[in-house]
Amino acid sequence: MENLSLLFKKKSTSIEDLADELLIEIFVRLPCCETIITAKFVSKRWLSLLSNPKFAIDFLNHKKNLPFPLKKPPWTILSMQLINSEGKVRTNSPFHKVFNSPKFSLTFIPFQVKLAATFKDLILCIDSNSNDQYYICNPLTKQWVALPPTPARVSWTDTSWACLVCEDPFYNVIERRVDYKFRVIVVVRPTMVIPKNGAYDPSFTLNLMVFCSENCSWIDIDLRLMRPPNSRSRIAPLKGVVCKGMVCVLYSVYFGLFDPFNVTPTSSRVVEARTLPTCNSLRRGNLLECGGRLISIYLAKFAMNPTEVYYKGSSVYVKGDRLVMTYNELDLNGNNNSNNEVCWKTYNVTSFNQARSPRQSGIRTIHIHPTNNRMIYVLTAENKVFLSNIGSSHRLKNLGQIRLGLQGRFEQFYSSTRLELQYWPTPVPWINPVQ
Amino acid sequence: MASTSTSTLSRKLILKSSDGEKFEVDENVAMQSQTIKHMIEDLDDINSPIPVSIVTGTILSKVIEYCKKHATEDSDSDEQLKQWDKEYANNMDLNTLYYLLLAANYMEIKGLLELITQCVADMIKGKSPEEIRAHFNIKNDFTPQEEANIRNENPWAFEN
Repeated sequence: MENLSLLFKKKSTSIEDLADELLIEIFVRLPCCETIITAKFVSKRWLSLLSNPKFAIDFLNHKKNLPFPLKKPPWTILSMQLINSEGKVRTNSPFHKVFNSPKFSLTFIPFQVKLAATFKDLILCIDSNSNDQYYICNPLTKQWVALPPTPARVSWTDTSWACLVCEDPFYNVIERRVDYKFRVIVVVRPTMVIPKNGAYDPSFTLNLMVFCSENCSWIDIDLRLMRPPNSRSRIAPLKGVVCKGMVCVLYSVYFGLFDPFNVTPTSSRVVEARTLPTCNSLRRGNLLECGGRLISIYLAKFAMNPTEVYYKGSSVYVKGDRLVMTYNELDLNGNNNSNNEVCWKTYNVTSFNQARSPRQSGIRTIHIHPTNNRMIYVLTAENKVFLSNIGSSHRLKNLGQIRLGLQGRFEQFYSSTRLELQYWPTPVPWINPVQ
Repeated sequence: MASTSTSTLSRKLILKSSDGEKFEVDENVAMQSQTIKHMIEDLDDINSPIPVSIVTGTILSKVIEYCKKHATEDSDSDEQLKQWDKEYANNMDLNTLYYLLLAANYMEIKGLLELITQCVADMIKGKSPEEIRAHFNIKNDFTPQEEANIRNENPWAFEN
C-alpha cells in the first residue's frame, strides 16, 4: 500500500515496478508455451516467475476458463508402429507442420521402443526388447521416465492394447512441483473364458495389468465385460479408447467402460454394458473419442465407381471413390444415465471423392478430429489421409500422405492414435519407488 | 420516460482522487469497483466524498470513463463493447497502462484488470527477448553463460 501510493506519486512508472502478482496476471494471458520460453530470456525476474511450477498451473487454469478458447494447439495422428532408431528420420504430417520437423522423434529415449498409447501430448512406449519395461515421454520437452518393470513378462503382440490416463495436473505445495495421478492399463493378451458347463454366460473376463501412480506398483485386475444378448462372437483385436476419463474397451462382441481410478484387485467391477450397434464390424473401423463423445465408425464400402458424373456451378465432378460409413455416437458428457441401455445414435454416411484420384486400396484406419465430431479422417493403405467432413459437404478431400513411422520407411497405419499438443506441455510424471 | 429513470433511480457519489480532484458519478458506475462497493457499505454519510486515496485524478478520470461505458445497459452489443475496449486500451501510452493496471487492481475492477493485462500480454507476444526489453525498457541482467543455460533447460519446440 505504501509502495503503491509512492508509485502513484512518481511521474512515471515501468513494468519493473509492478508486483509479481500483476506480472503473473499478464503472463497467463500469453498465448502459448513458445512465447513463455521467449519471455524467460528477458530478465532474471521474468525467468524466476515463469520457471515457478505453480505458474504452469495458473497458465493452464486461465486457458481452461476462457469462454472462447484460443486457437487449439496442433495435433496429429501417429502410427502405433512408431519405433525410434538411430538413423535419419523423415516424417510428414498433413495435420501440422511442427510434426514435420526432424526434431519430432523419439530418439531421445536411449532404447528401442514401440509406441503403445498416447494421452494428450504424452506418449506411452514399451521397450521392444525386454517387453516388460514401459516409458512415459513428452516428445516436445524430450523428457522421459521409466516405470518399474511389469511383474509378468508377457510379450507384446499385435493384439495387445494399452492406455495411459492422467488426472488434471495440480501444484504440489510440499514438493513444489507439478503433479498428477495417472494409470497405465495394459491388456497383453485378451483371452476369452468359455464357461465349462457350456451354459450361456453373458460375461467375459479380461485380465488387466494396471499401474497406479500413488503406490507406484503394478496390480492385476480381472475385469468382467458383458456381452449383449443375441450376438455371435468373432475373433477381433481389442479396441479401446479413453473418453471423459473412462476407459472404453471393445473385444469381439464385448464392450464396456470403466473408471481407471476406481478398479481394485478385490472388487472386479462389472462394467456398464451397452449395446454397440456394430461392434461385430469394427474390424474395419475404429473406436474413437471426440470432445467427451465415444464414437465408433464402421466402414461398409470404399470402392471405385467412376461412372456417375454431376455438375455443380462451373465444375464437373465425377463420383469416384465412394465411402460408406456407419457412424455411432455415445455422448458421455452430462449425467450418467446408466439405466438407459441404448444411448447410441447411429447415422449412415456416404462420402464421395473428387474425380481423377488414383484408386485407393483399402482403408487402414479411421480417425476423428479432437473437437469436431463431424471431421472424420480416413487413412488408406498408401498412407494417404482423406477428410470426410460429414457436417458440410459429402466430398472426400485428399489431405496428402502421412509418414509418421519413425524408422524412416513407410509404416502401415494398421493401428493409430492421436497426439495432441497442449497449451503447456504436460511434464512427465514423477516416479517415486515405494520403500 | 427516459428522463425519470436516470434522475430518480441512481444516486450520485463523489470520488476524490489522491490529488484532491473530485468526480461526481452514478452509484452503479462506482459500484463496478469492489473496493468502493465495500467502502460505501461502511459509509454513514453517502454525500461526503469517497477518497480513492492513492489514485491520481488523471488516472481516476480514465477509470471512470471505463466504468461508465460498462455500467450503462444500452443497446451496445458484446461486439461493440469489445471494439470500444480495444480502442480505449490502444489510446493509452505504456505509462498510463501501468497506472491503470495498478488502479484497476487496487480498486478491484475485474473487467479493466483483464483488459489491461491482456493488452500488455499482446505487446509481449510475437517479440524477441531483445524487442521485449526495448519495448518495456528492461535491462538485460543475464550473462551469456546464464542465457545459454536457459536454452539448455528448454530444448523445446520442434522448430528452430
